[in-house]
Amino acid sequence: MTLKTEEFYINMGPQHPSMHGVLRLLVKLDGEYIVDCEPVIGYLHRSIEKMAEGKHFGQFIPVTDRLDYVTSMSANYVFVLAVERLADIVPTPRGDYIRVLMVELNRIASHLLWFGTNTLELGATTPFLYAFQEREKILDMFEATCGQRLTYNYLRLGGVAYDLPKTVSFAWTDGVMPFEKACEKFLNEMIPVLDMCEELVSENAIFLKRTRGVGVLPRDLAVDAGCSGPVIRACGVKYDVRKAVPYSIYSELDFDIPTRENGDSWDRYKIRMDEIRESTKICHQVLAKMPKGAFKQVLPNRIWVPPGEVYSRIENSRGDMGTYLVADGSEKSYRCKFRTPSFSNLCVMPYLLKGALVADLIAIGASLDFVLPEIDR
Amino acid sequence: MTRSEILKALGDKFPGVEIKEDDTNPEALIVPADNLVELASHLKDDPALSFKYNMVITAADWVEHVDVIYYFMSYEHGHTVALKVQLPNERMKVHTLAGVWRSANWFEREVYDLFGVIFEGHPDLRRIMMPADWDGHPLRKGYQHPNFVPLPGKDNPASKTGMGHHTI
Repeated sequence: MTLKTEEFYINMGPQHPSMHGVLRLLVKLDGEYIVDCEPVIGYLHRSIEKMAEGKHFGQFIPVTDRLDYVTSMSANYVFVLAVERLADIVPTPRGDYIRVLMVELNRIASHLLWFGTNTLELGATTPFLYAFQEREKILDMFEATCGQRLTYNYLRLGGVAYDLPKTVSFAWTDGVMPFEKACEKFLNEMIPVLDMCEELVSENAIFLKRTRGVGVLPRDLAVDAGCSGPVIRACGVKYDVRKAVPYSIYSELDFDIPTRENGDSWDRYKIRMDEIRESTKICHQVLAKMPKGAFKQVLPNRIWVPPGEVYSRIENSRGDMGTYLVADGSEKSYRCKFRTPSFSNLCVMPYLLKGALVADLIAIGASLDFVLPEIDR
Repeated sequence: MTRSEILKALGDKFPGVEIKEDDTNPEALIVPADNLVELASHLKDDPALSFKYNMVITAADWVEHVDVIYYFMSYEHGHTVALKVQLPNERMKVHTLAGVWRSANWFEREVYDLFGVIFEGHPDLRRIMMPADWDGHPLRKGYQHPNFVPLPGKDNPASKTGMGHHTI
């Protein structure tokens, strides 16, 4: 005689302690196994795209911070890039270099935060503390540069809001140091900590069991569903907007795009770890080449942009981020749409969860590294 | 391939279809809404074009009509193109691309939710951002929030944008 169990629905979220933000997953269960799942989004919808139509371009930059609070610099960047392309504004060389430095530091901070919370969800507390210790140093540097730790509002049309501080003094610097020296010190000291973190978890039997072969995403599905960033690079697609459509100074920089073949949680973890190393390479080069001069072009506060349409793209820590901007000749955007990587990366959740255990739900979700404010906008 | 080369490739394959370059957008081709699916499928399946990646689908409201714009990219060749369909207010319908690209499913739901464009044949056309019982489509230019109270002053700029003072 076979025992038949009854299928039933549960709600994971929107207020779930280990869900990243307010995502609701409507999960159909057969005992411990997931039969089907439907992501329900929109709980964080703040009508950012509608707000863009009511504010002039400079006023709207702080709102873009709220798109993705983990990598606010990139969110600033993609909007500023779109306006600059339409208005034919060229940032000053120093401003351009500072932007890239900040965006890459922000990418490291984002991946460290992901690493910390991901291991925490798999039951390891120690790596979380190490990762946050390092992330804290990046936030210190951001705070010294632009006064903010999370929502930076740092990029401006034609450059950045403030120059880099001449000297800084933190708990982890040797007294008062020039900013560039402090940054180099951080980058050099972070790599050994990163190696140690990887050593702690990579060969750990529990970590391997929870990640290797779990949440396998086939390459064709990932391409078809519009996934990007580490998620698609873990499936063997060597694509990075920084290399494919170089913006800013990325064409002059030497860095690699890490790729892996299996597309499981383990590969996504490894890709992010490798990306931190590539980002430190970029930061070293940018610091070495940093030009002198003005950090920002002198422009009026309000800019009347000629009519036209543009789609600007950058690679943020989660993938391909874009802004579709329509201007009608006024000082406000006529239509401003943000294409956010988490939105498309979340689409594949139902596929990944089919047949998985409930215990793996959070782990698989975490390996996709989505951020809800970016999805809901 | 550049936009004009892609236009030529499409023109050779579909001689009867009127396709033209968009003056305002350097990447876009304006195509008739009725032929969208066959053009898009050809863009995806032809090995010389191979647009496997649907970056984004979005829309812009021009009061008399709504533009729906589709951005595609090819991993193989690295080129980008955008297709644009112009839908008049009285016929805000276009066939879905959810059968061609999986990513189109959620993008089209978002456009439906915020602009009210109907995607015919879509497997699951429901609201995605707004609550299910919401009235209207908020990104339309004529949309006004039910609790919207205009600010005093006839020419107050905040009254015109629809982003004025809200009361609960």
